[in-house]
Amino acid sequence: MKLSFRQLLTITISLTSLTLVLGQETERKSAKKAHSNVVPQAFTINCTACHLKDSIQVGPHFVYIQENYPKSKRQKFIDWCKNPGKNNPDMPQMPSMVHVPDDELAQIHDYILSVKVEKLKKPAGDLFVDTRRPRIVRTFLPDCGPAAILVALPLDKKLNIIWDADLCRLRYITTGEPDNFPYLGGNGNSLSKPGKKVYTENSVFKSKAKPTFLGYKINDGLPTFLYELEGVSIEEKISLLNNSLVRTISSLAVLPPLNYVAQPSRELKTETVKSKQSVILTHTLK
Amino acid sequence: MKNYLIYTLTFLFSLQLVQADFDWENHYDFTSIPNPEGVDPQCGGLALTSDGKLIACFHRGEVMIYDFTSKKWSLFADGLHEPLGVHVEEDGRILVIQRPELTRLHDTDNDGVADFYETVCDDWGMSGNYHEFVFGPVKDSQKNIYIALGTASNGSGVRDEIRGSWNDAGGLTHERFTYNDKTPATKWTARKEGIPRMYARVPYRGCVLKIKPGNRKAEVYATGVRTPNGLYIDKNDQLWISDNQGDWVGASSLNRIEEGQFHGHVASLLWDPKNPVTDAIPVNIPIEELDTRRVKGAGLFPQGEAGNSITQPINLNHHFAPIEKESNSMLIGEMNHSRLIHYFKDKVNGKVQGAGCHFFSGSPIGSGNNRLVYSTDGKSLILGKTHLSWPGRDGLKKVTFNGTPYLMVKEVNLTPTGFKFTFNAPISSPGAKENYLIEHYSLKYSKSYGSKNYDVTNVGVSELRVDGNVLYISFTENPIPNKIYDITLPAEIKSDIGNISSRTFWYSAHEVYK
Repeated sequence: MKLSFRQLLTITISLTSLTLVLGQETERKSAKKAHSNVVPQAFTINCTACHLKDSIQVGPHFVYIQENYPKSKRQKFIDWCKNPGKNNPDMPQMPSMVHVPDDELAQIHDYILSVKVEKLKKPAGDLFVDTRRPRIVRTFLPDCGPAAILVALPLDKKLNIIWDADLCRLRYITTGEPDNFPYLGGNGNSLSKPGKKVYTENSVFKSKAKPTFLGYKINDGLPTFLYELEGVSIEEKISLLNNSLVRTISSLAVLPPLNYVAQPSRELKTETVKSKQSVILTHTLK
Repeated sequence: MKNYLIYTLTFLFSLQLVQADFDWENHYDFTSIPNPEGVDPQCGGLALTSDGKLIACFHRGEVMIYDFTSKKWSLFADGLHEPLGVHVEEDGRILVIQRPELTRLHDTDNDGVADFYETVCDDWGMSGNYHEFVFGPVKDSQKNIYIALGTASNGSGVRDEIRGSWNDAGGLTHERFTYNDKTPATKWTARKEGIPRMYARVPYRGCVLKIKPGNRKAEVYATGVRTPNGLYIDKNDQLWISDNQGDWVGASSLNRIEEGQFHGHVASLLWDPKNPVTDAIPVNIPIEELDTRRVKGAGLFPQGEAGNSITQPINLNHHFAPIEKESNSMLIGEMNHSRLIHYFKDKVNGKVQGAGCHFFSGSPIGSGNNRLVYSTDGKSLILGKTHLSWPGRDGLKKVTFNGTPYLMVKEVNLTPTGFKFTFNAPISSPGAKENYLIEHYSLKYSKSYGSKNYDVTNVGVSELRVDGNVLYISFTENPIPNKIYDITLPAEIKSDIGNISSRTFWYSAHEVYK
């Protein structure tokens, strides 16, 4: 196909305007009226918030809908829109579109089927894997309150501690590289994976009072947690000594009565040294 | 191929007709700020340091500082749990809000990296539901801090271990909601029957909280927000919070927060300090009662057309637009579309309401504009983008006004007979009456997600008058209350400085002149 200079110029201008137009993800009122055959208004109002052409956002993308609702399944598409179920645990359930008349739902279906999309390949894994040690990460973790703090330590077997900022105490220790991506990569519904649990611990103090979490200081990448219990200011300092994890729970005042019972662990040896003002726990891999 | 080409060209030309009347790129430069290396560039918060550097917090918990001169990022803090806002205090320290707490970041040894993460306040509940975001902080002139707590979504349940005590008003016990990674989605679908779409069963979800200086205790300042992703405090200490469309929020709304008042989303009524709901599921309260109790949004932006998940409001800086002085109007971010909203405040019968129009529609601004901050000179607006699991983008954009004036609306006011539009320059003629596209409709206040436009009615223009910068529009029938007026001005309105930049306005006429 041969094109004259004028034709080429026209195409160039048009493509430039296409670039502009594609940047604009919606249309103004006048545009909407002029091009109702391109994007049905019912689609703009009801669907654009959640359904993109080539990538999963709130709901599935066009490619998924095209594959699952071909023209032959028109009624199934309309039925689903009016009475949606839930197929995917990582996506919220679609609100019912019962307020949209059937003929408009059919228009929406036609529109979705008419759009040609190359399926966008979402990166399979985590593009921002963080394996630094030491590192401190606040995230949702199993067997811990929602205000959880994970500390990845530069020790053998990739030792990690999971500390509960609500109860102000260590909950458990794991080995292996924690994976935050289940939580970060989805809608936040899945928990992060903390590694393999090798040790759990009960409260060091007998007190049933609610502690007050005051935050943490960081020294050489390791935290010292600060809190108050029964009016006593207490800190728990995380440090390392000869490939052991040392936790120094101390106060300038006398500590509240102790309750500490370390759970027996096949992988971790725990030594405890107590005084009126401190409890020092040294954890060493067996 | 040939057919395709013809089709494409026809399509493009028709779009060009629509596109032709205003080009934002003649007035603003749109550039990207480079992303920090190795960081998921979904931005949750933006602020400026006292020496004009940019502070941004990101999805995975980093707080980073960007030097505009060297174009380099440095890490200030990390490991935070979904930080969604930063604020620089009077003494230069940084406050950051994250899911579990409000944190003050101290750099005690002045090496440019925070070494003390001080818990300023964690006085609210967490059920572990993914949708319980926390937004803010903003500070008033008395140094009170305000934050707002998002509600939980029945897209999922809650965890066994929660923070704060469970409120089982109306018989909805904690056990009804428990959910873990092993719960099959189908099982959850069956169990969530009878659970409201958005819920607030741990303390203060869906509330605006006030934290007094030096106090670890939060107090409920106002109730009735759903997903309050955008707090702004204006120079008169008035707090504004945007909300996303959904149940009880018929359209994305800008709320003018009033102390002690209920702003419409029912879930938080469990936590109303004066009149808490104790024996019912809030969604079952008669709608008439809720409707009288609520303060309506000062701006409603109908779904899809005007707004889709709006974000942070900010004043419209006079260095950033062709206006002489600080205006009454605001810009608001928008997640789903490539544009912002320009909001115009009005007051009728002593109540604040107003209008919105698109800003930067058709520009290369892109979608996902979650956070907004001006550069020190006010000429540039920096936009932080995100998407999380919704539509949007990532990274940061910088938009700079090049000083070339353009025609814009500065104020929109209701009048007893119609509307008054004030422009930033004299306009030549009002155009023809029949070229005004005006309709009014209602949005429904209900437990269903969003609202369609009900009772759409065309409105006729009876008289047009231009007086310098001001356009008066009178209707054939006087404005009626509780309507959205959807007004598209004709393209013929022109001035010495060119065509009008945005022509469609959505005015929330809760009140009209009696």
